[in-house]
Amino acid sequence: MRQIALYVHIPFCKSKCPYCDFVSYEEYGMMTGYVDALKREIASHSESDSEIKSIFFGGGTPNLVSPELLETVFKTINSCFKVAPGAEISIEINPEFTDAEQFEHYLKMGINRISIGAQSFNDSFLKILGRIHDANQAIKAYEQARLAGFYNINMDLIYAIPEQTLCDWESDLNIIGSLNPEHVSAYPLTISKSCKWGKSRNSYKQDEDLTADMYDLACEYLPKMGLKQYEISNFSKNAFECKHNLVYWKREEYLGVGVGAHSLIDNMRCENTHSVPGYIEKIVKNQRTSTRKTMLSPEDIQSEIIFMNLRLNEGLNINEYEEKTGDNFFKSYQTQITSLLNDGMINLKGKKLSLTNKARPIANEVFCNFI
Amino acid sequence: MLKSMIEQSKIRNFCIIAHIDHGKSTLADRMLELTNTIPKRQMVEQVLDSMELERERGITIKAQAVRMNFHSRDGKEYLLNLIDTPGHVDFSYEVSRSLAACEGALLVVDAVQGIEAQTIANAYLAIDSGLHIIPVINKIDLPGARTDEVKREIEEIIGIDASDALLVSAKTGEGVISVIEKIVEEVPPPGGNEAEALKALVFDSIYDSYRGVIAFVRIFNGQISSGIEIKMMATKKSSKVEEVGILTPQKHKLTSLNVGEVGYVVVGLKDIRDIKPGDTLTELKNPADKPLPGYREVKPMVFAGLYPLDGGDYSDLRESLEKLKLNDPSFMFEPETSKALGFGFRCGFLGLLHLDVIKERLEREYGQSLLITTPSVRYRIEKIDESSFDLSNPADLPKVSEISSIYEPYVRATLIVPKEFIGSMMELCDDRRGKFVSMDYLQQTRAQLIYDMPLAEILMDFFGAVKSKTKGLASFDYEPVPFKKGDLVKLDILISNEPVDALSTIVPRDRAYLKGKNFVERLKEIIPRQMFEVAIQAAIGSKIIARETVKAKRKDVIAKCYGGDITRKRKLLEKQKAGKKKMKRLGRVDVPQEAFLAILKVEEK
Repeated sequence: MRQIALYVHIPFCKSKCPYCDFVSYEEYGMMTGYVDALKREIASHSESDSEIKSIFFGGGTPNLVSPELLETVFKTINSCFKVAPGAEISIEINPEFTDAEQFEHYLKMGINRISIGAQSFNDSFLKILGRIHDANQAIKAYEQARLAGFYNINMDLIYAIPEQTLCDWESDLNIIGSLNPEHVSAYPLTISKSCKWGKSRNSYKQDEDLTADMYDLACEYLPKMGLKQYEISNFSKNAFECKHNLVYWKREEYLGVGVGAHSLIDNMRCENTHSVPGYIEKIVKNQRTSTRKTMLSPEDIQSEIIFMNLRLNEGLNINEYEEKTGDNFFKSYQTQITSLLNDGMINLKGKKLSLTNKARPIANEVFCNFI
Repeated sequence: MLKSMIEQSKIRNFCIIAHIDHGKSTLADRMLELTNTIPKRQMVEQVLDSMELERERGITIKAQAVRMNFHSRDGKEYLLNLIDTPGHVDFSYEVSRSLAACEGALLVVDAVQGIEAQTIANAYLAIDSGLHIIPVINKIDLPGARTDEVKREIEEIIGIDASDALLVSAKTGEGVISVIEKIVEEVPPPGGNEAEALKALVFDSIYDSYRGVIAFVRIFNGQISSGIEIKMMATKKSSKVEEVGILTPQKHKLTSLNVGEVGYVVVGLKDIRDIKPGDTLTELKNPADKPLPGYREVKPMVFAGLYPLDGGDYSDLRESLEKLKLNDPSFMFEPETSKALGFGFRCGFLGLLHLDVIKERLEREYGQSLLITTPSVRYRIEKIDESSFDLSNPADLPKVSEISSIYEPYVRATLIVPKEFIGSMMELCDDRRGKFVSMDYLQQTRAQLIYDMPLAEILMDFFGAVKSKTKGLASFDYEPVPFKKGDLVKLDILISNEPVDALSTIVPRDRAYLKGKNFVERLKEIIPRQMFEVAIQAAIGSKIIARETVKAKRKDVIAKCYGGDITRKRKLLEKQKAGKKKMKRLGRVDVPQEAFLAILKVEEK
């Protein structure tokens, strides 16, 4: 039985953050029409020999969908697929729109993991980031989720924000310590060319050293709070690693539905159209919603398995790699492995290859060797 | 006899001079159309720019000539030869040779932009060549056109009467016929005697892989036909003419080219160096007694070292350079070596644009990855033990204790400068260790400055500095004069404590500290962070005089990598890998190409 992860995209936001690179739009009048189309897409992928091991509602702002509407999506998923018992089911939350009731609804539906887009607990930085909530709302959302009974909560944090000092970041980390979530994702602010800031704000130049110091601080503080680092940017308590994201990092299969969603099935990557009206139209006409399909070459597959698995602290399982690719790992990458070992960038223990601590922040230097 | 006399009187040889983008090529296109030289349906815009590179950059590099037949309103047939000239300052010698082939020039000025640097520079060249100038104001169709003001500019700045300046729009074709008529009316027919010994000016040449060298000529005396034996008066080469003809703009074979005419000659030579622009072509058995004036050896103004990025492609590079030289006699090169970079070539170019064009051609047409480095001049070293030798690689400079004197090559630089820039040019020359020789006014508006300067200072993009400080209006030429003793030291650059010979330069002792400091600061900006800290130092002998540090890389990873990011990430990693390949590895440090040219661009503050 094939095990896949299911990703569902909700592309609506009340206000789009200027640094946001995801597919999202500020007009959510199309919400109902979109969710209808979403259900139809889910149904079109219906398969009897796949089991869903995790579901992730991402966005946009998934909690803009009313719980009633969300419930119908669940009904569709359950009727079209076999969802593994104990599957991890997550939803992303923007703290602006939460209330205790909402969390109770989620629990009833079967959602068992909440991911809160807190980003920072400093209101001035939230303002700089263009977020529409304040620190109190983020903390409140966390408390409400707890109260409702959620025992698997993630908080997203951003560092290297303009004007943010190392001390400021330390404060955010300390607040995490006092809240005690099971999982934290911490990323430096990245401004891609396609986001609002990328198109205009070319004056903000991140300080490489400060960013690196902040990363080091997170790697030092979070484990002290029981949040062990298990991936380049992700920390969690034991057994609370995000099962859904692990599918990406272990390069396992996943199905993405909704606008802009990606899938990896049978070594073929698909991407759905980014346009909401376009997506709805294609669904109505019974057409394919994917705009891009790539068949991966054996070389692509090899390098993906390597550089994705290396993102995890536990690293790459070479036996699994060889099984999946039929490639002799040590033969193919002998020179690279030797020089990386010499430079202290990788660890090799038996059949496990992993990044050293010093390599992690500059991991691209390692990954380049396997392209 | 009489027939050819009449024909000679009906010939008009002219060119079009203008600042870039003022519409020279469009005007030429229109004229070709209106005279039915090229039927409209065949017209590919800007026919005369035949090379892809030129078309991309919107500039004409190679001059060409086109014959047009025109039936004038006076009822007579005329033969118009349009000689296209290179537009860029780097090629002013070629421009002057093309002008020498003409009797008249259309001075085209953009009705909105008005007079600009190249307008003046080329106008002066045309005036100096004694051409009859017809002012033409173009782009009158544009909303911002200010023709009266532009007429005034022409009169005040260039000093020619523009009251009857023709108003045209090359784009729409308006007024173009009247331009042609005016050429017929005002440009004098060519002089010269058919009966006299052959004197033909070579104003351009190309190399054709089937036919060999093809010269573009203007006949000043006599006639040239296929089969005759000719001699090049400057290069002393002789050969047998294989074919002559005119360009329409395709080659059109004729039995002969007569006095006053412009056309091509397949000279029957295989080496383009045997035919130099400006040379006089004459008949071997009945040579002219004096060559045409104005010929000179084209001198390189800008030099650089050219190295293959991957040491193994040296012979490929040499072959490519030789092929390139086939069609570009002004490009020079000779072998050179560097401890850091291996085997390469020292090359001479007419200017930075020329360097750029050659580099791009090499990379594009011959698929070569190149490293361009700072050039060097040749020094004469006299040692304490009384021996002396020529030094071309600064890295080979012996220890200070062994040296008695260093002599460096000097040149006599002649600058023709518009009045308002005299001060800044004198300052520039002083700054570059120049010794004032003389200043004379040529006209009310221009002066001639002569300075003796070290050739090494010319290499530091002196040419570029002259052009940029005078908005392209000054012109510069130089001649070697005897070597002079200099108080010079070797400035070394060390990267990670290892000296990099390709970055060594010989500098005047009293500038060494400043140059070292600036160079090192510039390198710090150019060299990217590596996986370890990199020290960049400038040294004289064993003394470190400046230092900068490139910190170790601390962040180089994609923080967020989920389902939709994987393809993008793979592409990013591929790009990063490719970027590294384009850099030169010196020891453990990856150094981008710009580092080697950094000292050229370092302004002394």
